Amino acid sequence: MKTLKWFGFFTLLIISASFISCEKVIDVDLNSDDPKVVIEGTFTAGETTHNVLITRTMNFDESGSYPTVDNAVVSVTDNLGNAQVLTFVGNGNYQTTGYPVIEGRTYTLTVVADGKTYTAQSTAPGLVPLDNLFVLSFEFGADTINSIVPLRMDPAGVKNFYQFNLFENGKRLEGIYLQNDAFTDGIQIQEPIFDNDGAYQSGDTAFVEMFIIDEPVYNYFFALLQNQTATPANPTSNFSGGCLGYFSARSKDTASVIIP
Amino acid sequence: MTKLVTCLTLILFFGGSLFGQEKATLSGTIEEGKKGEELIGATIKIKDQNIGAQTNEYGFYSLTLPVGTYTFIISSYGYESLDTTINLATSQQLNIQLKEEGGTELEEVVITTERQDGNVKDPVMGVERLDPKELSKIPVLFGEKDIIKTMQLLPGVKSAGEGNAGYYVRGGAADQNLILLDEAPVYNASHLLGFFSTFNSDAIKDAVLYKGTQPANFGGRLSSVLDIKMNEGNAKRYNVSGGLGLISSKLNVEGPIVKDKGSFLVTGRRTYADLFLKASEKFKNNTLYFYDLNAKMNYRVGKKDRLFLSGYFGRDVLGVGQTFGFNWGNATATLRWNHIINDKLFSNTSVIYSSYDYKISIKGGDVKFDITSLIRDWNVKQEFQYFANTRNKIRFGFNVINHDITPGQVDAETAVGINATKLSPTRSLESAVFVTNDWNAMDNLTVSYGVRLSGFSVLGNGQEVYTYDAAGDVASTTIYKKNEFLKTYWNVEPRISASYSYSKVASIKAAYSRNAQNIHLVSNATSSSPTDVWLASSINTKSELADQFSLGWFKNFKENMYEVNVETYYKSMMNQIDYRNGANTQANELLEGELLYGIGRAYGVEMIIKKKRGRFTGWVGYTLSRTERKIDGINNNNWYAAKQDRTHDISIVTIYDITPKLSVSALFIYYTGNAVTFPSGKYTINGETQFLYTERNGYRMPAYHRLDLGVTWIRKNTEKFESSWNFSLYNAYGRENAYSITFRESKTNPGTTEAVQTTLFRWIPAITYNFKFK
Repeated sequence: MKTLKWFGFFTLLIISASFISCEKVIDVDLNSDDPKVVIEGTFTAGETTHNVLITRTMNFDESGSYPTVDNAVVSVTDNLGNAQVLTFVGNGNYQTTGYPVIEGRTYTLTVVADGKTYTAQSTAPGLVPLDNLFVLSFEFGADTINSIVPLRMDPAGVKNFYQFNLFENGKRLEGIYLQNDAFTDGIQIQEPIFDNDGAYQSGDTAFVEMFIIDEPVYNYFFALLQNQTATPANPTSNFSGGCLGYFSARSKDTASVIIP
Repeated sequence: MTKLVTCLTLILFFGGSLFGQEKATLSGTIEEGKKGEELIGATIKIKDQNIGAQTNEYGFYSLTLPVGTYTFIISSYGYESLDTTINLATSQQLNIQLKEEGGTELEEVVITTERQDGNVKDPVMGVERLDPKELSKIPVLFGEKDIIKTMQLLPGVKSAGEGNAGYYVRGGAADQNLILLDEAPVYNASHLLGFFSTFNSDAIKDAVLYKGTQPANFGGRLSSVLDIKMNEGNAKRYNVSGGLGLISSKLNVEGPIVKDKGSFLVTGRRTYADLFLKASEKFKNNTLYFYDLNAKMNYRVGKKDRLFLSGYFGRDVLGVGQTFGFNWGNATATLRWNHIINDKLFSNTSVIYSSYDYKISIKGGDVKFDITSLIRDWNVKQEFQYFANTRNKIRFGFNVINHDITPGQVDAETAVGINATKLSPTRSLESAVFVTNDWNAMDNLTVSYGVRLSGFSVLGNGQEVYTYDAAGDVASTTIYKKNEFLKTYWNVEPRISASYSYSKVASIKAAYSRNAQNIHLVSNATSSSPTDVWLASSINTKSELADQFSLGWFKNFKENMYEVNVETYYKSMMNQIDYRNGANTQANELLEGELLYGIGRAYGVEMIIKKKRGRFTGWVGYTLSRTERKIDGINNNNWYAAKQDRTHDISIVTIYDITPKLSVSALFIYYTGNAVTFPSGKYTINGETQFLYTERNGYRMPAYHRLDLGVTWIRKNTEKFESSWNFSLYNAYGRENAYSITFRESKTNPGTTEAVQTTLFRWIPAITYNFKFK
């Protein structure tokens, strides 16, 4: 009996010891690198104002906002020859005015910055309407996790790639959220999105922006996401010319729900 | 090719001196007296001469000598030696039983070679034999003694780190190690995400690790072979033993089926971490446990035949409420027939089954589906051992394995939310013929040489087979009929090693070998996972090849009390596989499009100093090494340090017996941190910080080191009952070793980024109670 008690004591000790994995902030001496140009161009079907943001990389230990490139020349053309030069609107942002983006068309973005030319192409996929948001709630330990299920009918016979921006009471949640139809081609997609922080609580308003993107852009974001678990690397950009970033022509739908 | 094999066979058979006076053969088995288990590597030799034989892995020996009267000495490490005088006028059988040595002195030795001077005399290099009985005094995590964890304390063998059951041998990746349990390959040797190995040390009789040149009867992996043999069971009386630990308990039952004719053994182990989870309010709906079961039977049919049936079954189960379930495990079965054809020719025939699978079950609302993945082997192996004369011992045989791999199949209960995908398994046939000879060329020169001819055939499965262009996109699609041969990779794998003793206690050895590997585990993650994908060679993925050269110096001091071994090696590897950057590895039909191929090289020096006898025993091991890869498409096509590259690796193991019943032990480990990729800058995408990488594996994790302490106290040891307590303290000085280092935007100081180190274990005490009814 005594032995059993002893056992119990040690058991407690070991359980408490082994479930404490501790985290701490440390100093790591990281190399620095020459600043590189980062281009992020998003052209959304159904909208007429589209934005291109041009910034530069920083060293790891630098703080503050990212430096911007404010003297670039940015232009766009589609496969039918509709072209426009974008206007600089401040803080590294360049915008179109009255430039329609049509599903199925291929757009070419050209950026000339610091004497170098960078070019990327992207095709805007057809819209998949976001029918509804469903909230999937389940217990994890003592917590209730509320995850959002964006319900939509996936068009059969085409590969579809989805990217999501999640908002909680108007504030965007951090993270990259992607889905594809590799196992759900042509049926209603009911795949939940697990946000990084398990942020949604009962009573919150959840707002979801769903983008239908092309495969290279999906692969770009997928690679960024992989960097958290696998050997990290810079994702393959659809820009030629040696910059970072991506150009995405996409279509979009949104929906919102109140967490029950 | 057949000509070459015939030629080699002829050389092997007639290479030794076979002519001369009339001869007779003495043959039989050597076993231990108490349980009737065969002894592996026991020796029978003529007194005062260096002529003799060793028992093979089934306890059989054969010794052919000129007719005459001889005095033989029969010995085995840890057993009392025996003298016997025999008039060898005609060939005869002699079965010998040896008694376990009474004194405690020898039991203190932790890792033994079978002969005290075996390290000096055996031609094969880079071999370590581990005796599970002797592991018990080394402190281990959670007090669960573990043959794989202890093996990682030897030079040249590196742990893949905490939370990783994998190990690296001489710069090879974790999948380049062949792990055999009674001849059956074990694909995933880890439990609980790597904290334990699948081998219950109570069920293990013998474990041999070949980290250098493997004899030609082994093949299929580039780096090493770990050959584990299960206990046979007590052929004389029933026996129950067991252990109670904090994390797991185990029970072992063995006994005769028919006394001295056959025996059985059943060993089971289960962890009960989940019972503690149940006690906690927070985790009560979660499950987390593993169990495994080893069973073996053997039976002698007449004097010349013996049958064995052995099996292993183990499973890990993890679950979160009703929503998520995940289980994985190995199953193996071996049916083996030993047959003594005549006093010089021994045959072993085995039919082997082995499988590894995992299953993930997901249930959310109406959506219910399972993802399963399976690798399954059927394997037939025939081996002959021909004891030609005192100078030549020849092994030859063949091996055919049928591999079926189902990479990841989705089964849906209902047609809601997911499409089921039925994939036919990919099938391949791996075959080999081998011949090898252990040749005592001179009294001070032994050579072991042989060749393995291996073929790997890729078979069609009635589905699309893709080829890929340089960018990894599909270049062509062809449908091949079921079991149609698509391609066969042939490889000639020569192996040779030689040992020259320039004195009674010192020798120099040299070896060369080529190995081929056709089953690959591709992983780009920082730690191993039960869902890592096994991939067979295909029309896109070629055989991996490795050439290894090694040279060593072995010397014993003070009547074999101290042993010093120094080995150096150079290994060059071809067709090494890695993923493209940002590869999609899960359930990807076009997975091979995500692969890149290249070369590798590894070299280093290993040193070990052992003290094998006395109250104070142990060893100091040190490895200085380098492992690099060069793969087109990674790191701008330049050489880079492989993940497993570690410059320094030190382990010190000491055991001190205070009294015969009480001993203390300490273990210290230090190694250079793994090569890792850290950022060299940052930028913003979609409003969030991302990191810029300039070089693959250009940084190092902090050095790893820790001290473990242990106490073993034998409480009772009587005729009928034995019990002992084992206490251990893992990471005694609480070193915060880095499990991972991640980078993120600071939450406390917005606009800045920070590096975060995660540490798993500090100060883990454990206690285990072991008992045995005799």
